[in-house]
Amino acid sequence: MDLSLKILADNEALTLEEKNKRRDQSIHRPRVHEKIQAYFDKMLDGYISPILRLKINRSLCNFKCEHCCEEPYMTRDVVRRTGKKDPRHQMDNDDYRKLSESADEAGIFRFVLTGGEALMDRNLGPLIQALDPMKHLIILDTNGWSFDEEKAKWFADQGGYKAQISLDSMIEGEHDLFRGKKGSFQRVMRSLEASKKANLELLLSTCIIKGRVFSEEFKDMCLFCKENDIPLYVTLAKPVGNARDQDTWVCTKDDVDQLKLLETEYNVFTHMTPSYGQPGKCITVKGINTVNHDGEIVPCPYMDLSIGNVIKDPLSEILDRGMKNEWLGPYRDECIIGENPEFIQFHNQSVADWMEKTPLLPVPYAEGFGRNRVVK
Amino acid sequence: MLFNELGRKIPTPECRVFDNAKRNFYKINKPSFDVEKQHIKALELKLLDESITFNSVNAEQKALYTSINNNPDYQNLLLGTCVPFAVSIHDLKSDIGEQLEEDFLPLVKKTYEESQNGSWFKATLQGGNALRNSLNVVEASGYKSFLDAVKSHCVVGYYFPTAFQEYDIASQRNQVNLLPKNEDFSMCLSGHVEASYSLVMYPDLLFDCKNYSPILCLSALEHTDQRMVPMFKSYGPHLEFWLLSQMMTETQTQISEQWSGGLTIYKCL
Repeated sequence: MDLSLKILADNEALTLEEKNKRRDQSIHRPRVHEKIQAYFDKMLDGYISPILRLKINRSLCNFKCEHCCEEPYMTRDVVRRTGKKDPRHQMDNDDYRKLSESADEAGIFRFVLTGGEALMDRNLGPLIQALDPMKHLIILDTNGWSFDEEKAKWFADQGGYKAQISLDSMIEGEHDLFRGKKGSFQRVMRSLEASKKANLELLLSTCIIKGRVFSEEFKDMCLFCKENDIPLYVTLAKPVGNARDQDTWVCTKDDVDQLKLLETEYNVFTHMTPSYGQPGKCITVKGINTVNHDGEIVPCPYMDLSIGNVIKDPLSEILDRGMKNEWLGPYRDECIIGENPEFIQFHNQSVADWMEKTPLLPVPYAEGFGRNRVVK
Repeated sequence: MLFNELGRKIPTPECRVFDNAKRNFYKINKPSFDVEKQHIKALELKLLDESITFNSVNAEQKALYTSINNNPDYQNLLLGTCVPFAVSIHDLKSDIGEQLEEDFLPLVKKTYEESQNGSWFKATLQGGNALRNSLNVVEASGYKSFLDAVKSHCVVGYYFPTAFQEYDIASQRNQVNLLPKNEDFSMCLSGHVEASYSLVMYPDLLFDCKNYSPILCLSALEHTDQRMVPMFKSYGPHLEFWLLSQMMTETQTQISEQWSGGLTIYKCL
């Protein structure tokens, strides 16, 4: 035990690797570097620069995973329930170009492309260009099925910055079964190598259900990542999407605490791990927002309630509104959609009420978050 | 009645609080106190003058408890978490930041890491700020009198860490000055001495495997950078000290269900 007290100022809290990455951006993407610096300069004034996570191509996916929270947004599910595709306007490249510009003005510097499986979008190249990879870090979520050397190189050539590859188990058969596709484990392994070869930033993401964090299999995954120098990003199964009725999957505080213990030994983290001089906390609005296909902004990847539509309202106005919501702006340690029963009840009731009127998610602002108190 | 059934100050209309609802999501489970063990540990750690006897502290603590319990304004405080303490630190440093850096935080770290296997204590200061020569007592918080008493007497009291839970920092500081005065005891907004003492005596005060705990703001202290607030918080099985910005947005200060200011009630032995 090290008994000496190290008091860390936030710039000292950055790892050497993080410092190097920042320095690299000053050369490769000066505008990104400028925005990162501005964020750190103004962070103490309450300035935010969240990740914008773009759900593209109607969340089309080649997999059908048991825990997926995205299923209700996918065309296959919408058609099954309504007999037709989502009729709402879907964001096109012009909309994404405008979003990129307003995000740039707001000091935002990170876009995550996700789905479904983002690589199934034939428009992916033009979309990346519309977002402007010189002004933003473009990050790709993928299940790795088609992310081979050629595809990884293509993504890097497009200006892509990072690949986030998902893996559900270190046991090959278990992962393949969960994904419903034999060979998917090996494809993930291949995509990890391909990402490294293409010189992309890389992380492995995995979703934990209750108890998994205590398993040997999870420890093996942590070890694998440590040995291969790959950060492991962990998401917690939430009682939404396919898992809405799977209460036994939902993690409790002891799971989350165990993860926090593992963070000391392994390069494993969640969205609530202390980073960039900020304590570990719920990052709704301030740290991440999802942009749905129709422009609705949802303040967390696992929620189905919107804080406004970016095609109709200015981005900065929507984020400001979100920060003033009683659940979303104020400081909270816990993951509200994963761990706060009062919020989960409010969320799922709002979704249920909305779904009685229409089959299309997310719930618009007025019917969900708009009913909460505004922080004054 | 000034305090509700959770032992928290009932907000008046001018207070800026997260909510008026009596939510209890963030809570501190009441530790089982062993005041005699506490006394021995305080003597060992030189938080208490060696001439002070357990019997004298214990008698005063019981009398103080009875005074609070018999006072209709304050009795509900006892429904919340309260940590008994007795301190006399004659060489208390005038630089609060230096005291924290050199004495209290290392002590909290040592006792926490010794008692919680595999867990750590960390201190982080946002924005490259410092503690030394940077922390002062908030005027009208009553904390200056408390610190003076700790230097010159043995101070016996109770720390109520959740008395101002859900209040913004400014409202905590305003409210403490408006509390009715009492002949039987003194009061102040809580700061580094009693919060550190409590975590040294009961290292798991903020750790609970089922519940999230409130964040203990040391609101009696103000930093030269007015945005910053010193605080103790848990991070799962770990414990942290932060000098954290209270700016929630560019125009609003933090107002959180989880942030809590403490009230300290004490007497001099």
